Amino acid sequence: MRLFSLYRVELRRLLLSRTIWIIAILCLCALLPGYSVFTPNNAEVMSGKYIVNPVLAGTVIGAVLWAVITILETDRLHRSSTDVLTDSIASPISLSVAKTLAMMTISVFVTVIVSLLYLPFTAAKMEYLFAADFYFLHFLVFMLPTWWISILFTDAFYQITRRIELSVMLYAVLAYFSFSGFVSDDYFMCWLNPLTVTYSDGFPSYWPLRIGIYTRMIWLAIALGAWLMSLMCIRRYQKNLVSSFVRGLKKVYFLVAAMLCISVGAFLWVSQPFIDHGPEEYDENYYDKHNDIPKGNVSAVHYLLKVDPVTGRLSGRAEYTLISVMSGENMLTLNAGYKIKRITYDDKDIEYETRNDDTNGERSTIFTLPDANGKRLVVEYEGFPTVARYMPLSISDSIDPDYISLMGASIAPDMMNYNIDNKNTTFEITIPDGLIPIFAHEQMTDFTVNNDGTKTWKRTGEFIGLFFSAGKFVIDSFSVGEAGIDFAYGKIYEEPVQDYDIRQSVVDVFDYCNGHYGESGYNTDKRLLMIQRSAMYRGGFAAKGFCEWSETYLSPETLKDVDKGATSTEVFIHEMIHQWWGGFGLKCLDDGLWSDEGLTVYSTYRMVKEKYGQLYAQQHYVDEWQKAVDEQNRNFYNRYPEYLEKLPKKYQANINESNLGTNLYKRMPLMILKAEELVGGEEKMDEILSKMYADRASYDYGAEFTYQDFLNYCGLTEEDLCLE
Amino acid sequence: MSKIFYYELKRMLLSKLFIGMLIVNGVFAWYVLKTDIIAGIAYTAPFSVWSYCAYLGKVMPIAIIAVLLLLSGYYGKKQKQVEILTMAVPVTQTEQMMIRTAVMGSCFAIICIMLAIIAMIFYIRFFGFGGFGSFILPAFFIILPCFVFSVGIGQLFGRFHQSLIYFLMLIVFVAGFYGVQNTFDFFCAGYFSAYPLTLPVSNNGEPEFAIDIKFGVSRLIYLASGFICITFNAMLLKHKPSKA
Repeated sequence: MRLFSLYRVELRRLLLSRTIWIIAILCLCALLPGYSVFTPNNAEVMSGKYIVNPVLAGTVIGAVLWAVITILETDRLHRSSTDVLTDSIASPISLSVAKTLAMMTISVFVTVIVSLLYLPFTAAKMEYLFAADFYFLHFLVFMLPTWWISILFTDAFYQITRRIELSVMLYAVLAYFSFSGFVSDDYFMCWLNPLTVTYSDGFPSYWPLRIGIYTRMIWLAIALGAWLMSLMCIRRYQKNLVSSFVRGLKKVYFLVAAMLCISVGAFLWVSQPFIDHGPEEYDENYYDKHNDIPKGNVSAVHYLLKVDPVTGRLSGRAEYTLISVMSGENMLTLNAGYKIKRITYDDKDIEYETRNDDTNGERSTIFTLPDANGKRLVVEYEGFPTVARYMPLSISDSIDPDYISLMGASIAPDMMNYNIDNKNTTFEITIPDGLIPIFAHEQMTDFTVNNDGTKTWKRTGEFIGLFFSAGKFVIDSFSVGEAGIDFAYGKIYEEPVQDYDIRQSVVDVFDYCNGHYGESGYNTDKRLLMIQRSAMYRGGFAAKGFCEWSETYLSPETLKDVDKGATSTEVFIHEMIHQWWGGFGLKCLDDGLWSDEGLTVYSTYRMVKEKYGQLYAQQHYVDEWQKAVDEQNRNFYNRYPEYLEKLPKKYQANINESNLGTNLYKRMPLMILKAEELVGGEEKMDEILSKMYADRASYDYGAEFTYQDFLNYCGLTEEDLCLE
Repeated sequence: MSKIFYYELKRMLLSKLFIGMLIVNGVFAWYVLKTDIIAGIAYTAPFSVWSYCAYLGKVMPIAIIAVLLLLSGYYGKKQKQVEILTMAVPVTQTEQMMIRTAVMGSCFAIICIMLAIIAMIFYIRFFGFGGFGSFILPAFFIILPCFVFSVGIGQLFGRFHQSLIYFLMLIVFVAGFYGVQNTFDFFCAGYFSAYPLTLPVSNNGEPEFAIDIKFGVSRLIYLASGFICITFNAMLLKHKPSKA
């Protein structure tokens, strides 16, 4: 009761304080930099531009402002030397708790006012994309908890040090840590500036909010623990820090509560379900480890999946019909977030052990088959798909009400001891009604309607790879000459696709490549599926019979920006050209320098040059390639590779990855450009490429085309194309 | 006077604030070495003089903030309350100011020595490199003007109000992390990251270490400005011994 009355007094006093009102007004303005200078989230999507960035700006700036007012208010009594008087009237601990609670209460008022103030502007700007719940959730998930964390930490620092400058210094160190390169792609370390992935307009996901709530809970628990601990350091009877703390220990419940809070924070941190707990580097050899072991055979597979869009969880069952069994120890891998519920062998339960060996986002399970006589193996699993730690900012697996994206081991187990015959496969999945599913690069058509607002989709037959996405797609089917194309894009992009005549861009690419290299293999039997994917998944990808791009390459913000060079809309062209170089056309042998990418980047450059002119192509392609190659040549570790081995593995991996990217996407195109000059110009080069394509494009995976093959076609040697 | 100096120095070195700042500087220095310098500055070796100078430039803002924080203690309310007692000693206010400057200089030197030792440990551990002799002269070129100018301005600001030193710390923080890359780069990190890119490379693939004359002049200007501030501050003080 005493605390409540103190709280009321403090709340009233603070509400009458001019400083609080100034801070509140500054908090109202704190969102403004999010529209221009403070843009941690990709601003090419509307939700990133008008919701996430302003809210994050308000979160960070507001948190600092609340830290300032907390220090000033906490030091007020000490500064005016009236603490001697107030301590005799009320317990300094109660007074401090009341003050902090009052401050947090006012921050709630300010959050509500801020969210209402920006509501009309955001709704007007986002038009039909605006969703009120999504908008308000950002204030509740990111802004308010971060402000509270800031208040609690600052108050704790002051109570411990009892000095303004030291409290400021500690806060500055903690804030700097949150922004530093140490934690730049770590969702859990960024306490002040919540890390968010690129948002999606066309395929909205709650994944960023889910992880946002989780990280805020972790830091709130830690900050609360630190604050409770600091209450024991409040100076009593003119004693110093140590004596006051020893005296404070008498209130043992503070210590217990503080330890409990910090333990909860630590537990949540350790057991987080969003990112796998494996190494930060991608393990290239992970999938090759089991290539050489003898394998059994599976004649048919039946996958049954069910997703829960509210919780983002998947439950699955994979039934394998075995024709030759590897008795003894077997291994499978699944997404590291999934838990195996049961494994049966001819309907009898068998034992299994899931290891803590997360690698590349997957976790292995060992199970033992007692004999080789069984015919049926069933694996049942369930869980929330985690993101691979080596690529935490690209979310390829997520389950939401309006969009589902799953691939590989996030769909079904990868059976390491078996060759699976994909010709006899059944895939069934139950998803919310209204979503159009695409499985293994083909639209699913066979479904049954359930009574609970879901549909169960089914596909049988042969397929390559486990790729599933479902969303509110529009599928535009058309032909370019003989080629049949299915172009799947988000429903909300109908207008920009029409306005910017994207279909014509597709036709242009086909016309260009058909004219320069030869007819593609797509016709009524073999169609090309082009899919737009959520912006949460970065970059583009192409394979046999399909290509896909991140959403942002078709967003109006990108399409209307004429200054954007080879990194935005031209990815769209790049991935389509892969149907000639790689995938479904001429497949190049990847040797770390020569690959499909070199010819594709070069062809993109040529097409862009024809479309936008020499100057544009030189600036955005050739100059960029040359700059990257020069930087690579000058890099110390490339000049002295012996020093690279002395670095920690993480740095080695970063440098090797950077070199690989430069070799594939910059150096090789530059070498092909040099080849173009040596063979006699563009026309001659086109003739060579056309002949290569005619001779070696197999429309199926045949013998891969090597760098030496390319040199032979050009009549050049390796030395001729050396860039030194 | 030396007794007062030793007393002041001991008081400062044993303060929690100095020890805390020493730890902060050490942690930050290791962080800079491990995340930034390890890649090599301007494509040069991580243990080149360029990279070492850039390292010093990157850690200098925190070192200077530490010095300003220590300096602010001399202009606080508590210090002013006890000044009536400290003035009883038979030294002029100018001499007292010089003692305090020397104490600041000693603290700064200790921080710099620690930064150098951390760099040495880093270079030996990761690269087996031990040729630190070439680092000494350029290091003085960076740290001396930074210290003299900052302390000079800090003392001048502190005379008016303690909070002005905090404001100066904010400027140092902003200038340190969002500074210019030209010849007037106060902490030099930007300059030593950008200037080698403009130089021709030698046989070992790296530009020879050199400093252009404009940059040299700018360092002298900072140094001279700092001395002027200190002298001006001394002139403002009374030259007579304080009464007990």
